[in-house]
Amino acid sequence: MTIFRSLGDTHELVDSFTRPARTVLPVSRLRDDPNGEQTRWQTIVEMGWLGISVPEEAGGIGLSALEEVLAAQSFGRQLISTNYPATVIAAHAFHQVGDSDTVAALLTGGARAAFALHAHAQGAGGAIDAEGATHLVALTGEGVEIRANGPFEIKDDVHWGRPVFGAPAGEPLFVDASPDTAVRGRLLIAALLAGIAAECCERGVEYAKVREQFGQPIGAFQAVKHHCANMAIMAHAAKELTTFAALVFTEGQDGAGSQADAALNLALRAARENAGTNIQVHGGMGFSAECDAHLFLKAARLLDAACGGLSESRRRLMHYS
Amino acid sequence: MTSATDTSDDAALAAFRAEARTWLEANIPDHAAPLDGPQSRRYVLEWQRKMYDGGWAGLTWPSEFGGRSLPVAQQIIWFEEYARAGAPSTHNASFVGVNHAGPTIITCGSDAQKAFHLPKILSGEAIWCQGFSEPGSGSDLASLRTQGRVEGEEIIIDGQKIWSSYADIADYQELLIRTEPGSERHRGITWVICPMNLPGITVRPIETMAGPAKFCEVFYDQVRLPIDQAVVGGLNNGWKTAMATLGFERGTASLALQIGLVDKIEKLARDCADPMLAPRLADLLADAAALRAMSYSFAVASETGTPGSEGSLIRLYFAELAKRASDAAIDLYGIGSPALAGDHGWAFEYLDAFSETIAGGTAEIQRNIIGERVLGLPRGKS
Repeated sequence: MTIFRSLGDTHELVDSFTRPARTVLPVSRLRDDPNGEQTRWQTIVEMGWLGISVPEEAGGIGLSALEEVLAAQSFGRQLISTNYPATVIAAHAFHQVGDSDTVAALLTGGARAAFALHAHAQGAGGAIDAEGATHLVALTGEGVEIRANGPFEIKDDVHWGRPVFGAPAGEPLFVDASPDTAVRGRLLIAALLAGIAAECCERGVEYAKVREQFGQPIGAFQAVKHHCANMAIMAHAAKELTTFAALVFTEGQDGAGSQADAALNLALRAARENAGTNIQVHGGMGFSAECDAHLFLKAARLLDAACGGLSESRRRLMHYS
Repeated sequence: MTSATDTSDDAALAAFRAEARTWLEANIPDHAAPLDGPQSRRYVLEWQRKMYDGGWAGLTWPSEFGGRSLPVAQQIIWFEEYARAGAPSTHNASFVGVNHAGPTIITCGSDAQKAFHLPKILSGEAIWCQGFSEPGSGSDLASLRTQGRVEGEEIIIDGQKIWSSYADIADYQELLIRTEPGSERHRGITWVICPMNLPGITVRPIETMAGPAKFCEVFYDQVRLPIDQAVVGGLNNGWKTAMATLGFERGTASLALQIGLVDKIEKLARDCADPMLAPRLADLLADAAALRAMSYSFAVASETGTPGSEGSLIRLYFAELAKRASDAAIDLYGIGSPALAGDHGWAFEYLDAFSETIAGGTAEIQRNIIGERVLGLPRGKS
């Protein structure tokens, strides 16, 4: 497989419509107003971010998975709601089965999807950010499973920054077994995680430049500098592989599935490692809930839970080889 | 959007790939490369000559100097096919000439130096080695002390270099010496071409922990060089010239090695039947995919400008991945397995990989460079 092209113009295009994300979705919102995510959903709808890769005839913008993945790297930095990837994946699944009404409802805010947590070997399961959602999306070995939402009770609204719900009852509405939708889903989650890894690196580095101890910025100490270098390496690897995998998928090359799995595996590790290192670099502040650092770790863990995490990605990778 | 994969280009690239594959299948040597000594010299020069005659030498060099100035897409395809065919590792005795000294002479050399040396490097007539490190100047290269006394039209060299790979079989050395008396750090250093057969040069090969005696100590006792032939990039301007060399090292020169490592890891994963090792191999597969993605993206970016600073990230990523991959290979196949045996088996790869995070800048120095030059973190008080 060989694929290479300069993506300068694509980056510019994507930047032009993701730029507002920093302003309308500042990460601090999750500390200041954690219950406001539902009302902020309307902003995401109005920005058109849900339909980036949905075909124009289905009401989307009609760009490719590549543009979507580049955009999602920016959204990941802002810790966009997990309803965003769930709703995009649901829109593709409903498009696959020809239900254009539901696609339109998902893109315009009339319907919204949340992630069912990946059914774990221990049998837990559950859902995240499910309040107010109309559908649940489960990423399974068979493909993308769509269920009607709830009702079910909150199991944990303390630890992960977002409410975690118990396992939903009921049969799936349908399973989209097309490889395309599943690969899109993995690419999208990988991109959000790559964004988390990049943002954690930047925040850690910026803090290391201004925080002084022993008469100099802590970033001058090699122990801290090397933490920062490690974050930079992981962030770069996750960004480049996620982008490359999206390019392979978009251009219809062989190996799109395994590249997407590789991207997800790497992004899962990059996000949790960089989130942890960023907390470490922030020291006592990093452990405090007043600092944003912990939000990235928790968000990474929730995306991890939605897609089956490292175990599932490793299983799929070894199956491919 | 510029695209190397437009349909019109696809056919041309496919034809190029087929051409490369056919040539490699017909021409790769029927025995593996010897690891050191005179037999290694013969092997490397013969292979270089074969590639030259076939039109496959200097793909990355400008055509005015005998190269082919191939676009980066073709370079990548060539290195993919090169790795796929199991062609001799590019990390051999021709590496310094083709990837360091040659490009440095192209960038900073005089017309006479270019005319004399470049054809010899490409056509497999001369082997080069590097004389940078000294016993007291490893990571801190700028502290080097090997002296070059300017006397009329000559420089007279006294001192010692170390870790000079293939110095025992080389014809020329790219050598850093201190030519300005009393100068310190980066000032007063000169980059010279030193023929290895001059009186006053003594070479002592050093055995490595992996077996071969491929790197050497070199002693200089009143070695006389003519300034006009030897100095590249100007007297006392050697640090700048050397940085040009290191820039190439971090550019596309390592593509063949990077693609080769990806192939090896994919094979390890295919061979893995042990469920306890599978998670490690899965992560290695993902890391290998990332290495490829980063290398290609970097190569494409280098085509339109000078290589960016992320080259140092990729280099370190490669080094640490090579170590982890060979570590997993020993666990996977086990000591005593045929996969470990031989000059290029995994036992050698495993032991030799320990040099990856030391040679050309230790992993610790690389992390300092990433921290300071890529991320803009302050230097520590010293």
